[in-house]
Amino acid sequence: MTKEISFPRRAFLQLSAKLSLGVAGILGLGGLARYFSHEPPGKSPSSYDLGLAADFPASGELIRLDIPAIIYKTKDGFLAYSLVCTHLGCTVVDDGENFSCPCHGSQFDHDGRVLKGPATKELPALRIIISEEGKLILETGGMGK
Amino acid sequence: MRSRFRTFILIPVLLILLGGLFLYSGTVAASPSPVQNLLTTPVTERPGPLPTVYPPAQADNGAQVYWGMCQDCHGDQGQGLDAEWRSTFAPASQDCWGSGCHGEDAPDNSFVLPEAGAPALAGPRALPQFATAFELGTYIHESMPYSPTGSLTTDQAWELTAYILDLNGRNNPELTLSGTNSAAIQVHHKVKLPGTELPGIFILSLFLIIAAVYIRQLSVQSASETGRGNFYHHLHPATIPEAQSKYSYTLGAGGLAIFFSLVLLITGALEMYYYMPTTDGAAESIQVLTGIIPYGNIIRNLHFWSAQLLVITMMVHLVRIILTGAYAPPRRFNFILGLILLVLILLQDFTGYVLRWDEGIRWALVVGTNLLKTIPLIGEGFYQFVIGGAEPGAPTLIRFYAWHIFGLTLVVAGITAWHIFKVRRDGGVSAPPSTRGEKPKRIPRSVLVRKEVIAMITAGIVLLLLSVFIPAPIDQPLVENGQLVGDSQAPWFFLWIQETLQWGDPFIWGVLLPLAAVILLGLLPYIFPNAKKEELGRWLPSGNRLGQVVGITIITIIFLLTLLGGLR
Repeated sequence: MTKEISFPRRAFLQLSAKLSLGVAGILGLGGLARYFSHEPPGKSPSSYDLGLAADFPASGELIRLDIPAIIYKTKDGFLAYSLVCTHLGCTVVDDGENFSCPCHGSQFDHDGRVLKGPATKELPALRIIISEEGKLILETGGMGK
Repeated sequence: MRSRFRTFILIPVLLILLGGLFLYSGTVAASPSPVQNLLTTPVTERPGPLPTVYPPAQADNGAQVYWGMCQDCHGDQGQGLDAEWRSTFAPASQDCWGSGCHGEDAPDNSFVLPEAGAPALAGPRALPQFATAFELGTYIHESMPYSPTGSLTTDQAWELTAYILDLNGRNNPELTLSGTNSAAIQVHHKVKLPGTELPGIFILSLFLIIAAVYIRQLSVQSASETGRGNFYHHLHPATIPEAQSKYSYTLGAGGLAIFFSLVLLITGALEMYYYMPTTDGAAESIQVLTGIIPYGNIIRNLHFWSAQLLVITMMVHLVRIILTGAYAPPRRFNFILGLILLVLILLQDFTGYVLRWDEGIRWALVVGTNLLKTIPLIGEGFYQFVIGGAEPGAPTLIRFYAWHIFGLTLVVAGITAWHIFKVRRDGGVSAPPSTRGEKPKRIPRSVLVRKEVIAMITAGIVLLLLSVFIPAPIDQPLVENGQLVGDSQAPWFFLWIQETLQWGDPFIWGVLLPLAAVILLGLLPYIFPNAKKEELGRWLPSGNRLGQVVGITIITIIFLLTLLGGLR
């Protein structure tokens, strides 16, 4: 004996309505996700003109807060480190001895090594070149590195 | 009872009237004396060394600096290095470009004068490249004097700005120029500062209080008197159990949260008519709003203080719910709705804070958004979704603006309505159950409304006093790659996260920990024993002791960390 399957018109309509609404909802959410997933162009690498290498300050170091970076003159040439704290991105300040971060207290020595957390990564070294005219050019990559 | 209510209304009214009169007379007495304007009268003869005026106004100090540093090149009346001014020099120095000091081979302690000389600082064609006093002051600070550049202090730069505005007849002596107000001051137009607004503010408040009392009277009339209920009848049930309306039990916190939300909606809507959501114009438009627009300052302060008081009120509300065990079923879900509202309001406060786009928000924005990046897998995408680019900029500001005035507001309004609806659905505020055969005492609508009016007026007065006496913060406009004058302290409601972030990995301490705290609070009614029905309606029921201890511990830790961060 088979049980009669009852599927009245009203139940069918209700089910169809719910299904369509569900599908529309999923499509809508998918569309919304795509709408907001647009990836803006990354930060373009930029280079900074630091002036003639011959004019470099006699103290042997130069701080440029607009980059932000510190540039050293050593026996072997020029060195540059980013001053963006590797913890959460505040600019570190020279407290006389080390670089310390005003936001969460990380400390770095003058070669960018971590002295005190919460930062774990050292301050990245930046590329520095001397152009044909003898100018110092500092290059920063994309995404703040 | 009724006469006590009248007395209660009468006292604040009198206080406000007296306070208004006092403040009004104060402002009249404090208007600047004419002596200070001695220096600002046009000079027709060559001035000698400047007389000192006490107390010197900002422009007077500027005149001193100008006399010492600037006038050799820019002229004694700001006329620039023209032939007439040079004719007053010693004959050998009259041709500056050919002289030994500023010619081709200027000595080391001097400089070569540019071919154009020094421009005029006063007159109809002077200073064409500057629109606001902020631009002028920043330029002076960064690029003047010509040599050695950048040797002026910030204060000197603003004093000189005031003096130059004065030379052009556009200085407002009653205003001390600084980074926090100069973006509102025009170089080429005399800006009219609003006069004292306190009497207007106090009279308006007075009428609002009177209106509140009349509205209460409307709700006293019974529905049968008017035929059918008027509008105010529909906002409240005809009677409620007396136990649900005691201040000593509810602390009035839920109702006050609604009051502050309404103030925020009204003042926020008004601010929208002047606020500019652009990176160049945001801080400037706020300085204009607070400094120039009549009643703009009080409107912004009311918005600011309502937002701060709303956070505090919601925390008090949360503590009350936990310590009375009121979240027991059937109110478990409404407790979650309330917590979601608290999180959303914190986001509202943060987005609103960022809309200032001044130097004060620089690090909070960088830290707050970089924190999102530390979330594994989705972090990078979430970061870009929030700030709308690879680094904070114009798209970030417009997104925060959209969230603040529309996205979040819409969700907050919806959930608030749901929260209030659930309160009524769940049988009103938690109260002791009626014992058999004994009906609980009930109070009519009119008594409830009176309690609400009293709470609103009290809160309104506190809000007004804060707004009149403590201005909402605004700093100088945010300059990209600028001189990093920013405040490294987080906004006060996130100080506790700034503290935990110092302990280690930012994802664990800055994202997971706060999230865990909120989730644990939300789970209180679900994982710990709840207060029994007969215990409801009073403080510290024994049924949910464990929940009280856990909840209050979390809130106390957050409070102490906030305090610690604030003292740093």
